[in-house]
Amino acid sequence: MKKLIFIIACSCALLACKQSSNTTAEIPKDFKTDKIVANATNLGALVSKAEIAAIVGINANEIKLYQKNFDGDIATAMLLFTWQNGNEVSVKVNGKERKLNGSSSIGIGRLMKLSKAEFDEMYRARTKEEIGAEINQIVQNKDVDTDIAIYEAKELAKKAKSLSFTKLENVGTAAYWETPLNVLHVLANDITFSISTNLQEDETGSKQKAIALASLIFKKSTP
Amino acid sequence: MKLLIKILTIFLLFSVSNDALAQQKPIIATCETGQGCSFQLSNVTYEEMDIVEGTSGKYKNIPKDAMIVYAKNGNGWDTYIEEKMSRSELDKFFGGDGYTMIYLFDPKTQPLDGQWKIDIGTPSTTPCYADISSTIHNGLAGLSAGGLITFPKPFNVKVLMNHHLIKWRMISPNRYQGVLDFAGGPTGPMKLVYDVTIVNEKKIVGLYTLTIKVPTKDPCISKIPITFICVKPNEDQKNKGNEIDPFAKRKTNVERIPDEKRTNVERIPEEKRTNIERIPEEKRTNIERIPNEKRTNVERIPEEKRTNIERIPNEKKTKVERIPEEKRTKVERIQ
Repeated sequence: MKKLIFIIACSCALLACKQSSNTTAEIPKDFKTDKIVANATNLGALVSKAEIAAIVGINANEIKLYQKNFDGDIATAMLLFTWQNGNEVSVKVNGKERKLNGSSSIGIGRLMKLSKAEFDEMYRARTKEEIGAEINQIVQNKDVDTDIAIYEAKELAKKAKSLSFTKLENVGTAAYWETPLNVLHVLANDITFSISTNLQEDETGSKQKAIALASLIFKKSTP
Repeated sequence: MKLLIKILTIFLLFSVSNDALAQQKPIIATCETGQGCSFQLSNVTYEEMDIVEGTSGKYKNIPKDAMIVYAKNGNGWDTYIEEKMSRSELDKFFGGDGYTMIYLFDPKTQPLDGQWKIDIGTPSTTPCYADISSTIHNGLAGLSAGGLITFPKPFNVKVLMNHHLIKWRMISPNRYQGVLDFAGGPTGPMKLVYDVTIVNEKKIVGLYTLTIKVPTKDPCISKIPITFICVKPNEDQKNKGNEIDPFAKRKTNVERIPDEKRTNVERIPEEKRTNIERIPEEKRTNIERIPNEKRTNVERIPEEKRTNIERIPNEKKTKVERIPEEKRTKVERIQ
């Protein structure tokens, strides 16, 4: 009987530990941002395909790397680990249905140097007046092409309907979860990075995997 | 919140005139499974898209929020119109992260800077009354840029054949077509079509098709293939990952010159520019500057004290013939 209780207690402890590791990513004591900064333009050096595969539960050989960096700015660049998810998606080309392989991805990028106050300001919820002012600013900006300004303002207005940032506890120095894009924004000391998820999972599952990846990045940046 | 967004959207639509909407340029999305999409503003309007593709109203009549999507399909591209999805949704549909931006050019096409080699292939010509192939072959070297090339970022195909009369358009994300009608219009006697495909960042292939029409005779068509190969990319592109401060770029905060302060100085067209040779450094005369302390400080006559002596107009001046030196009598000056 005692043996059985011990086994049950151990199982519960392990389960609790596993659950906790999925929702928290605390910064280790000796964590340094040097490694992240040194690999800012080559984030693939921080984590391997095998490590990503272990987090998302697929075979490492299925993963391909795609560097999304259109303007050489590390604050908008994203390294995507992508793979075919086995689903088929379809588009209509000249009235005929065309099947395509569905893809999933998890990405790291959007590196910036920010203070805690700047980070909180960036990801706090906006009031309707602030969104309105932002839309106005885009439309009235003479430096932006008129067509682009109209499209960007419309996109922002569309996004504002559903965009939300939720503050997460026990992840990095501070962290926010963005929906509906399912992106984790993390502040680690004075460096921020984002982890994007495009997985065949619900929001909770995507968030857990993003936090697990943040935790791995912290671990690998600690000597 | 939803109401406010509706009001803002309506305000936005009304603030843009109907004319502007008709002249609006569509967004082109270039999508690839596993990579998401990149978005660029087309360089032609919806109406012009119909003219370019020879379709009657296909693009003119689509909703103005719709996007023209180029979806990678094997080695080719499928084109379709997306009316429902937002940019973020479309990007995620193709496996991307959902973050999007609109660029003025296709941000994915970017050949490497460095030394490029040009190979002009063998021309193939229809039976013709004149040997046009060799003439074009000789002329191509001058028209197509080779050697050390630094491509504009984002890439602009004009760099491959920069002639003010050539009109470029995008056929698909990596294919462009330039048409030079030698100012003769679409029905002109001579037309040069230049098809360019960016195979990858180190290889570009092109095909020149020259058509010459002479009344009562079959047109002469000559085709010449051309290949650009990057033989030596610039070193700095390889070392992009070794920047000392990767955040440096975002720290620069250069204030933009407001539009109203900009001077609109018309650029001198290339053909009108004079090529004035610079004086080589060794031929320049080194005239010593007068040091500041040696300058005489001659007081300027104040404006109000200046006498305004009227100048004699040129046409009223009498032309007094100078006495030649040898005829002049030397009159001694009275002391």
